[in-house]
Amino acid sequence: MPLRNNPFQLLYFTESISDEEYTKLFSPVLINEALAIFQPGTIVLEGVQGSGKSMLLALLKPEIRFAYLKDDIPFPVPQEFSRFLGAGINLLRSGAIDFGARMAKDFTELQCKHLVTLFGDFVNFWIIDDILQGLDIYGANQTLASELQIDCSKNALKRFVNHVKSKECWFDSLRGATDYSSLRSTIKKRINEYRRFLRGHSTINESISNTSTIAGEPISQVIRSARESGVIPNDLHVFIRVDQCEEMVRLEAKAEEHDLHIQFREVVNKMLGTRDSNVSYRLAGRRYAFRTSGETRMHGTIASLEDMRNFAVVNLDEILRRRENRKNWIFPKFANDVFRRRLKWSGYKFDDVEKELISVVLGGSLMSIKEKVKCYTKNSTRFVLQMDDEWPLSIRQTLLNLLESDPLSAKLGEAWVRQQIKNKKEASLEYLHEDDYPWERESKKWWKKERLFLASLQIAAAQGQKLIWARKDDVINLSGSNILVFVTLFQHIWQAWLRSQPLSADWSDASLPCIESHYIQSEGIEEASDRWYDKLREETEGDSRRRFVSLLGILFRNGLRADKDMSYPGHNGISLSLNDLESDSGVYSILQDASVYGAMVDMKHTPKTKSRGESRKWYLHPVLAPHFQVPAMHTKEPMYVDVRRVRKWLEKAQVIFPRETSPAEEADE
Amino acid sequence: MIRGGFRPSGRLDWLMKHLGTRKWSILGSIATGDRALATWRVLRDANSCHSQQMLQILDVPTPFWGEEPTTRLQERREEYLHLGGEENAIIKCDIRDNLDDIDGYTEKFLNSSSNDIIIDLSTLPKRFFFPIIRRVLQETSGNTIVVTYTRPEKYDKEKPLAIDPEPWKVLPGFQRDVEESTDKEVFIVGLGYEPLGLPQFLKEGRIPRDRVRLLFPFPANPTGYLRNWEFVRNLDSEVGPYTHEPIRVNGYDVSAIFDIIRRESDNGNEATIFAPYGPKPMSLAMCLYASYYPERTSVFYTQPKSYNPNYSTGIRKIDEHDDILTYCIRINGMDLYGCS
Repeated sequence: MPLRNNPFQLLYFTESISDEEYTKLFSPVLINEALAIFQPGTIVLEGVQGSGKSMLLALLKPEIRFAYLKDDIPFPVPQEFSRFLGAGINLLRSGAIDFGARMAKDFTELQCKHLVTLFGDFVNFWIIDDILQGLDIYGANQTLASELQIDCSKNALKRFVNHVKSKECWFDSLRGATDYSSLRSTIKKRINEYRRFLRGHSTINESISNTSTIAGEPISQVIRSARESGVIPNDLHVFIRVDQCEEMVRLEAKAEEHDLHIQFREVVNKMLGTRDSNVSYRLAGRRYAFRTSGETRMHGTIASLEDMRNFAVVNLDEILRRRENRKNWIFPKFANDVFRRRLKWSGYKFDDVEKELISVVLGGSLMSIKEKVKCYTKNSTRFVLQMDDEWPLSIRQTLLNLLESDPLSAKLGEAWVRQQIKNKKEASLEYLHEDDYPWERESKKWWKKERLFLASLQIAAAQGQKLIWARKDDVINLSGSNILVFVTLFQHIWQAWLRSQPLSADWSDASLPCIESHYIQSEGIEEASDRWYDKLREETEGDSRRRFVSLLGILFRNGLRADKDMSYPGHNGISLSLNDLESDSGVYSILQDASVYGAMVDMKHTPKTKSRGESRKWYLHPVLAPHFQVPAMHTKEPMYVDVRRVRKWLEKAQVIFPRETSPAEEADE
Repeated sequence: MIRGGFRPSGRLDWLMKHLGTRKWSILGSIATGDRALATWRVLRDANSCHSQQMLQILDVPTPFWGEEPTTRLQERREEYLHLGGEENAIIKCDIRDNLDDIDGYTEKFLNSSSNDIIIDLSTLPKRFFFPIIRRVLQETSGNTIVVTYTRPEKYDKEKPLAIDPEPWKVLPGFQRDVEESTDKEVFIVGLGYEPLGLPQFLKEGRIPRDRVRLLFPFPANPTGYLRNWEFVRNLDSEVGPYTHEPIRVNGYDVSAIFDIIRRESDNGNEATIFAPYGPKPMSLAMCLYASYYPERTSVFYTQPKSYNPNYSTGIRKIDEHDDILTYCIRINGMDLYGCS
C-alpha cells in the first residue's frame, strides 16, 4: 500500500478483507470480555452496528483459523477455549428470509405452515453444507487437523457418510449419497432446488417437500455422526452461527400479516431449545432483535425458550459502555489497539512500545474547554456576556473586568448572577468581589464542572463560532463506545490532514504524522458527524428516524443556547419512566430503534423523583454532537418528559400520523 | 454491438410505424407522475389497443407526504377513465405485494393479451417490473414484446424522491444458485443518485473490490452527473476505492448496456450480482440479463416504501412529441436479447 494513504479509508473490514489481512487487523481486546462465545452453550450476541460482532464471530470460521496458522500468528482465543469447529448461516445472504416473499395473499393456514417447514429445512441444509465445507478446510490442512484431532481421511469420511445416512431424521432423502462427495452434491442440489423455488418456480419438488426435516435435528445428527465415525473428537465443540436475526422480524409485509415472521422465529427458537450437548448456537443481531417479548415459542411445540436456561446473552454494547469508573472502561483500550493495527497495516512506522498512539498522532490527549474558549474569543470578546441593564453597575463592571482575563469564568459568572436573581438571592450579589468569585469556590466545584461545556457552547454561539472538537479525549467520547464511529472519525480527520498537506510534501515518508492542528482535527470530526447524520437514512425507516433526530437536535441546541442561567445543562437528553413508555408501544419501539440503528444511545436512569419509578434516558449519539452543536457528554439531569410529549415530537417530525385526541387531552396540552 | 444483431429502439411513434399495424396489449400503471399514461394515450389515439391492464400501486402511507399520494393517484385514475380507460382494467396493488401476487397480475394480463405486448416501465417500481418482464419473456405466446419508458419534464429537487428504504435484500425471485466457489462473482452497480444500503451490502457481501463494476450513465445532465459522482464518492468512503474505473455508458441505450453486462460477466459464465440504482433503461438491461441467466444472477435492491408524489412532473417533448423511449425485446417470436 502506498504510504501517506488514509489508513481508515476502508470503514468496514470483516468481509471485504482477505482472511490473511484479518489476522493483522483483528483486535483481540474484546475476547476476554466475550469468552462465553468460545464455550459450550447457546449465546445471543447483541450489539449495534459497528460494535464488533462480526469481527468476533469471524474467529469461529475455519478459514480464519487457517489464516492464523498460515501467517504463523498465534490464534487469539486462549488455548483452553480454542477447540471448536464453526459453521453457520447468514439469514439474509443465504436467501432464507426470502421464503417470506413466497407468501401469497390467499394462503391458507396449512400452506403457511408448509412454508415455515420448508424454511426450517432450508436452514438445516445450509448449515450442514457449511459444516462440511469447514471439514474440507480442516481436511486440507494436516497441521490444523491434527491440532484439533480432526480425521478427514477417506475411511473416516466413508464411515461418516454411513453414520449420517443411518439417522432417521432425513426421511430417506439422502438415499442417493453413496460417498462423501455425493453426500455433498446431494445437499447442494437440495439447496439449489430451494433457490429455484425462491426465484419464483411455482412449487417445490415433491421429493423435497415430503422429506422436510425438523429444525435443528439433522444438524445435531450430522455432528453426532462426525463424532461416532471419528471425524471429530468428542471434546471438540461445534458452534453454529446464525447471523442477521433482526431480519426475521422484518419479513415481507404480506408474510407479516400472517405472522410468518413469528413462525420463522419459532423455527430458530426450536434450534436453540434443542439443548443438545453436541452443538451450541451463536445468534448475532442488533439489540432488541431477538429478545422481543412474546416470541419465544419453539416451532411445533408449546414449550417456550427461556433466557439463562436455553441461552445466555453477551451484550457488546454493555461491555463497551462507559461506567462510573472510567478506569474500567474497555473501549479506549480497544480503540487504541484498532488504531495501532490500522496504522501498522498501512505501512506507518512507529515505536511498538508507544502506549498512547492516538494522543501522539493527535498532539495530545485533551484540549481543555478553557483553551477552546480562547479560540472562540481570539479576536474579540464582544458578544460573550449578555447582561441585563437592570443589574447593578458594580456587578456588570466586575464581570466585564473578568471578561478580559477569563471569558469562560465571566460567562459562568453571568449564569451565577442570573440564578441568584431568579432565586431571589440578590443579597448574595453584594459580596461579589474579584478576589473571590463564588462560582470559582471549591464548594461550587461541581456546579462549575457541570456548566463548563454549556458556557463554552453559549460563548461559541454568541461569537458566531463553531465548537471545536480535538485531541484524543474528544474522539473517544464522540465515538460513543462504537468502533465503527471511531474509525469513521479518524477517516475524516486523516482526510482533512491529507488535504492540508502541500504537494511538495514527502508522500513516501513512513513516519507517524502528528496532526497537531485542532482546526484540522475539528474539520475532520465535523465532516464525520455530518456523514453519520446523512447515513442515518440508509437504514430501515431511516428517513423518518433522521427527521426525528433532527427535531431533537435542534430542540436541544436551541434550548441550551437559550438557557442563560444554565439551570438545565443536562438538557441534551430525555428521560421517560418505563411505566409511561409501556403505555405507548409505538413510541417505545421508535425510541428503541433509534438506539439500535446508531441514531441515539439509551441507558438506565435513576430519576430524582422516586415517584417516576424505573426510567430510561435517551441521548443523541455522541457523534452527532458536532452536527447539531450540542454537548456529547451526559451531565446533570436530562429533560424529564412523558410519552405524550415524545409522541407530539414524532408527529411534528412527520414520523407518525397524529392521533385523535380527546378534548380532555387537548386541554392538558 | 458485440453480437452484431440489431435491436430496434427509438421513439414510440417512429417504432410503431416500422412494426406495422398491430393491436397491442399494454401493461402499465396508474401513478402520480404525469408520464404514467403517455404510452397508453399514444396507443389509444392510434386505435391500436387490443387490451390493457393498469396497476394502481399504493405506497405505504406516511405522514411525510400526507394525503397527497392518494389524492394524486385518484386524480390520475379519473384522468385515465375520463380519457376512455376501462374501469375493470385497473388492478389495485400494494407496493409490498409479493412475488406470487405480481406473477398473478402478469398472468391475468397475459391471459387476455394479444400476441403483441407493451410493458410501460415509466412509473412501475423495480419490485414490480422485474418479475413482470421475466414472466412475459417466459410466455412463449408473446409474439412481439416491446418496453416503453417515458422521460419526464423534470424531477423534484426539493424533497427526496423516495423515503424509508427496506433493508438491502434480494429482489423477490431474483436469487441465483449456490456455487461451489464465488471467486469469479462480478458485482455490477447501476449508478444512481443515492446508494441506499449499498455500502452495507458491500461490506457484508464478500465482494472483492476488483470484482465491482460501476455503470456510469454518460452523457448526463450536469446535476445528474454530479449526483452520480457523489454516489461513487459515498461508496468509496465506506468501502474503499475500486480498482476499476466506472464504465461510462448511455443510460438509455439498453442494447449497449446489455452487451457491456455480457462482456463483464464473460458471456454469462461468471455469477453476477446486480444493484440497479441507475436510470430505468439501465435496470431494464439488468432485468433482461437476469431473466436469461436466472441460475447465475442475483438482483439486490433497497425498495423504498413510499415515493415522492411529485417524483416527476410533466413529459419531456422532442419535436412536440412525447419522449417515449421504446425498446424491442422480441419481434415476431425472435428474442433480440436471448443469450446464444
